[in-house]
Amino acid sequence: MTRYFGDWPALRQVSFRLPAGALVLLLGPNGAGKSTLLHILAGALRASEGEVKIEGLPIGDGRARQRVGLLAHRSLLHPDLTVRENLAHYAALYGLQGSEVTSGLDRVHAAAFADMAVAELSQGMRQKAALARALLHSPRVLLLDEAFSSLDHRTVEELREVLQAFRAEGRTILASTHTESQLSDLADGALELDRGRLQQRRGCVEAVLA
Amino acid sequence: MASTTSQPSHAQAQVDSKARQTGWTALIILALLLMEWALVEALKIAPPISIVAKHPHKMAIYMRIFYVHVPAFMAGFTAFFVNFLASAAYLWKRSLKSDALAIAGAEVGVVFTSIGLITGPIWAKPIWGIWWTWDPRLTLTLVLWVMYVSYLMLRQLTPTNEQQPRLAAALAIFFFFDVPIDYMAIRWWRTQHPQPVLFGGANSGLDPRMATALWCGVAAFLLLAGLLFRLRYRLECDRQRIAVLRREAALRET
Amino acid sequence: MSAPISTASRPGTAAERPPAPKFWRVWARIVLRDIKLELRSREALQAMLFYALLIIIIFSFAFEAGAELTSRVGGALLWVAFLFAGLVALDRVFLRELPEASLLGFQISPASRTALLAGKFTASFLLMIAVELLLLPLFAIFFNPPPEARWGMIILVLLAGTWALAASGTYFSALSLHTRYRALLLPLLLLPLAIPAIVAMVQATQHLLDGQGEVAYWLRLLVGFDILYTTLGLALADVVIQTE
Repeated sequence: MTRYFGDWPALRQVSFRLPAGALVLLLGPNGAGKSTLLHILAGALRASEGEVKIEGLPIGDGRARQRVGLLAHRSLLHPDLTVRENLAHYAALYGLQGSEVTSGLDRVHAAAFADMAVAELSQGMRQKAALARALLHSPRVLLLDEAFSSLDHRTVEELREVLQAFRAEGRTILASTHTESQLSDLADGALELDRGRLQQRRGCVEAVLA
Repeated sequence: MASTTSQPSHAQAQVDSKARQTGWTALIILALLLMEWALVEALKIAPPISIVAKHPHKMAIYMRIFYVHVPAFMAGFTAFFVNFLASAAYLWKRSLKSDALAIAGAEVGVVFTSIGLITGPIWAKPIWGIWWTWDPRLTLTLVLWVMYVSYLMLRQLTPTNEQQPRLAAALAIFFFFDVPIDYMAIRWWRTQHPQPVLFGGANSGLDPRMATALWCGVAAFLLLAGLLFRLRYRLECDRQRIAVLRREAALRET
Repeated sequence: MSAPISTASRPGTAAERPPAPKFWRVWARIVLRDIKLELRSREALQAMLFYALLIIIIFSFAFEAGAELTSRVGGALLWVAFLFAGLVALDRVFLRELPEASLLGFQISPASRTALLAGKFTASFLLMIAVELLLLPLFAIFFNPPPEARWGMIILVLLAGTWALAASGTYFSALSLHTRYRALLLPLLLLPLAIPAIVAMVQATQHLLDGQGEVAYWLRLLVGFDILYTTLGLALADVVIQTE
């Protein structure tokens, strides 16, 4: 897969396959293309060449999008709406029933601040709400884009627990980080990007034969 | 022919570029000659007859601007049409080449319609006694010009990355479909208002020598527009390449 | 072309998937959400009302308002005020999705971008209409329109004209979202495109104010503009709504 910005290849010939149930780190310095890669995997950007498949479905397909969740450093929630209203909005976007909003809130222990506006939340609460949003539609794959930077230790612990439960259901996590991550000890593989090229595949990450 | 090693293909490329250079020079010379000829036709050979029959003969000299005015618009409108085709092609294939064509089309089009819009009033002042009138044709042309200036503004104010071609193409499509509606609105709007009598005589009864002068002018302007278009297109392609090389170089240093 | 990249191949789990989101459900969601957001902050509503009111007042000073003036240029005054007030609303349509990247959240969801644009359009159309209906009595007070004015038809023209501005304006709002001088660029794009629509709405309103002249033609032209740009905008929604 290659991604051009204009003529500029932000990613070049990156290709890999992740096995189900794995937690894989996406490593690399700033500007290596980690965010770009995650945005393409989430279907927000198009790959200039090549394709992304989730469980055999191309990411342009709505069914593939149902299977991917993205947790970025911004929450993707509207600050003037409450957490509950935001989740109800996302439920509609994913074709879910309203009842799943409550279970989504419980999953990340966010019920306590569910009726506060997102703008009033602390950084940690906001990230929990964002995780509730990312997991609302029970994706098969969760993408984390520097999701744990600037969070306190306790919140990280809580989020780790949620992620481990998620993974225990056979779901996959790909987490980008530019430093040693709070997830390093859980990871069973890693991808290393540098200047848009895939430098290294470690652990469970498989190659894709052209 | 396909070459198996890099040496001959390099030589081949040099021959190609030399041939291109020669063809290019020939075209420029041809354009200059054609311009010259059109000028002679327009100023000397075409009879000094005003197509505005009601006006006295001595006014006829102003008529000669017509041989610049009409060809400039023809070249300009052609360029705008190229812009539309290239924009549609960009949305279809997402090739930066189409985008370069779209830029060239819009800029060349604005330049030539500007020439038309400037020469128009220069003629209108002595003939009609006013610089401008909201006649349907004038108004429509002005609106068209305004739209493509707006298009160029968007290009200028959009950060140069993959967004610009996409947004510009989305705008170009919108503008293009506006032209017939503009036509309908302006026609109806103006016919409800009094307007100066423009053409006393039939426009169709051009003297054959006037027709020659006009078509010479059209050929010369189209060729000139084509050359400028190609120049602008290649400039844009180079700019795209340089942008990539710059970033490559910047990354290599780090 | 390089090799496909695939993630987590584990087939046979399709059964647990929820159904694809319905177009109308997403559309209704977005309309309600945007209205709720607007009612909660009332920022745009207040700014628009005050802005349009100022324009009407300034015009009164500039032109020495009176019944005679209104019968000549009343339609133009009304629409200039509505146009500028509308631009305030249109500028914010997508802007409010930026602070916490909620637009990105939409882009990665399976919901169609056409539904998003349609929802945004409907919400801004309703907002603009609300402001205009509130201003219409004020206009009547300040400008003494002639008694033969046909207000029912004027409201019809108001709907068709506002639709025209909202349809093309919402599209341009998405288009200009990440440009420099965004707030300035929006009118620079919208005004040239809207020229025929503006001619039509001003002419129609004018004729209705003084009770004479052709209205049907202008109304037809406006409706044609509405249909064309609603269709074209929705067809190109995927093109204008992309990530930063």
